[in-house]
Amino acid sequence: MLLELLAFLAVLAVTVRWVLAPVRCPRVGPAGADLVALEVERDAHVAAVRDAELDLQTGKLTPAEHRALDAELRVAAVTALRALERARAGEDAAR
Amino acid sequence: MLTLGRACLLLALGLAVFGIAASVYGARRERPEWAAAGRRSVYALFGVLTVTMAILELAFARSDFSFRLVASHSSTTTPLFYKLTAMWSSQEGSLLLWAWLLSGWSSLAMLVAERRARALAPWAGAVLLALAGFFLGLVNFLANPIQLLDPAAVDGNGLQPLLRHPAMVIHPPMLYSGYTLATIPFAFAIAGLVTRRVDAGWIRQTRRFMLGSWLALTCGILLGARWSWSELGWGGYWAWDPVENAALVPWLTGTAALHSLMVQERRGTLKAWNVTLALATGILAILGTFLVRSGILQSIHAFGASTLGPPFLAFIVVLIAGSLALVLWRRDALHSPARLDSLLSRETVFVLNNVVLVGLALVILWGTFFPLISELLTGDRASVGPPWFSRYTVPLAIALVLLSGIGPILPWRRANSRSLRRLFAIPLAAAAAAATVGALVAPVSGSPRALALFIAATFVLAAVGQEYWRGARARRASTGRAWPIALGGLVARNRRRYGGYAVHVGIAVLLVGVAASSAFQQVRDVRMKPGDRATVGAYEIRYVRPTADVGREKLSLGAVLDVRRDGHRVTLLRPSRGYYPVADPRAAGTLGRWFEGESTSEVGLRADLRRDVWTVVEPDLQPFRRMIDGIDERFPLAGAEMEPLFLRALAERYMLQPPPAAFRLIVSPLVLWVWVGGVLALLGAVVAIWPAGARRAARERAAAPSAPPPAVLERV
Repeated sequence: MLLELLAFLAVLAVTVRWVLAPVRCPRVGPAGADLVALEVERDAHVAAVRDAELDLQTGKLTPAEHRALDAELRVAAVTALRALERARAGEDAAR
Repeated sequence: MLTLGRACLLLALGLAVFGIAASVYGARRERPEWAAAGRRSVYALFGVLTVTMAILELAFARSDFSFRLVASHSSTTTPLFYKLTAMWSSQEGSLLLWAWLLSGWSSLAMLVAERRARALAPWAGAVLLALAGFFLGLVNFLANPIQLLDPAAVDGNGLQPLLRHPAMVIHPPMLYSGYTLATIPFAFAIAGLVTRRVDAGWIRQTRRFMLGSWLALTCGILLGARWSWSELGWGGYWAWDPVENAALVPWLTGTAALHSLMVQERRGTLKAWNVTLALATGILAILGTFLVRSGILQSIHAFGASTLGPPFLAFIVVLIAGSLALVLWRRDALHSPARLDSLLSRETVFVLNNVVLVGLALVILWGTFFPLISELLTGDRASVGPPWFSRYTVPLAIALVLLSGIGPILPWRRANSRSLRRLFAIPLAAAAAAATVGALVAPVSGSPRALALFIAATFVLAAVGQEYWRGARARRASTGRAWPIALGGLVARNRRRYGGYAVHVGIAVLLVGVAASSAFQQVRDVRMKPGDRATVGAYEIRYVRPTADVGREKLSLGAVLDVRRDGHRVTLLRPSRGYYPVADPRAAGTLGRWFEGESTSEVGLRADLRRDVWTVVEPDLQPFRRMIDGIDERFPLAGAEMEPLFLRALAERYMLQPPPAAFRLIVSPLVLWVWVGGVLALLGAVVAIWPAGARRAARERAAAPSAPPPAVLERV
């Protein structure tokens, strides 16, 4: 019983110390932006470009359809990429 | 260890409460250190619950009967494999398993979100801790798995006989993994609504968890079905325990979500629908646990008597009301700007597939709850049977299979009519050929629903086969590699797409198995003595001789059956009935107690690709009643050394003077394809969920500020 109590106190002490560590010694740093939405947008456009290529190769799109769609998707992808780069640069500057 | 275990359970509850408070405070006041403390609470919760699980498992392994749970669900004669898994055969152990799995998956989700979704993580963490807190409240105060039995029992009751099956060992953890994984998208959807970040960011954080939930639920449902087929007296589709439907409903809404999330990722639309589906799937997962644990489906009275039912119901009401209120509160943020470009597009098929899947979920939910609703309204318990379910689910299933073939053919955004004609030609020709053959061949021609499903499945197989072929051909043209390498490379580079196609094929094959085995199954119930014969379908089955086996835990009485077709032996089957004794010989007598406890069927099964021959036996023990009663009267409290002698005497008499036995004989065509399709679907899901190493590396390269854009954009 005593051994169990001591074991529990050890578990409790380690848990409390570890969980509260960020509050006891906060590391000063920027709050940071959530880049995940911009990453998702970029990845979605990149995936759409790849899918359109695959659709062309597998005969779902004609070359003319693919050219029009591809141009549109690449512009959107580059726009998303630039927005992500700007956000990352802003985060680095804040750091 | 008992005190340590109980203290750890209380500590776990404390961690959940603290973690909620720290996360919400950190998020609202923008104090990252408190948000970090909240996140650490999730990890610590997993650690503390792992210690608690280890303590209980150790008690089971050591047969420590001072633990009430061990005494009631294990025994010294229970094999170690079943001892270690006996915990989740109990109410209390199941709830602890739920909380432990939830804390594990939550930790993984927090680890992923910590760096990339700092705004969502604290709110999602608070929701996950609230869910864990509810279950920890139950295990601490209403169904504690760590209770003292004083004095400790000499031996335990053992594991319930029906659960002594390998599939039943993995079935509950799989279902619970599916349920708990479904709560991750639920939590991130709530976080997205609270923070007004309902773009595709929360989807990125949770997509793999949703797919993982689907994978685990599929595996759990299949294992349950396999157990039912090979262990229970098979009653047919929809005749199973209604709680099995509890897993099917979130599986359906989760499947719908996996498709519609892709539309939002690609086109930025369906935001409100996706959030609603993620919330519904999470709530249905908890509802599934509620149905199993509250006893509500047995009767309202069982629910009233259950200590867990009312708090569960109250919690689900809070979840539904809170989710609805959040969606309404954030309806302006959920407005989707993009629209569908064309009806002939992949996204349109995804929307239609969502309608069908949600329709199926609603039908099954209504059918499952109907007995309860009727009891509430009329006082009489009326239930709907397999014909009711089939009437509504079969047309929807046919539509679903068709859509799963049309979707892969169509491109995103729009398709032109010329390429459509080319792309649909082969699948339509294959479907027409299947229709012609089916219409000419009996008995398929006499079952329009089964025929329709076969035609739809053939369409899917041809459509998906064509997709693999066209893709591999294109890859071969660009790389010059051999066909198998080109195909492997195609799948490796497009895991999500081609893994998903394999799932479509698997589900189509599975449904073909279901359709054939339900439409063309032949069943006979007969009573036979050794030497008697019976026919079922094209098979003649002869009762050759009885079998008997006396084990430490079980008495088996069975039969050897000679199965012949056209005069030639197909196989010998050995179905048997296993009898497990009740613990107390004073209650039912030394020998009588073996026939007052639980009994199980060992199925005699011959399975091949064309059909299964399935048999169970129930010996008529009435002729032995005098012998059993006589021994019980003369030796009311015979010791453990005498009991095997009596059992062997009974078994000997069963062999020498075999009584008639009742047999159920089933010939079920194509039922093996249910399992083949299920395994194929699981493999496809594993391919789809597998991380794409090269793509991730490219993304990481792109993540560096100085790195060039991904290669695919280099031409811009």
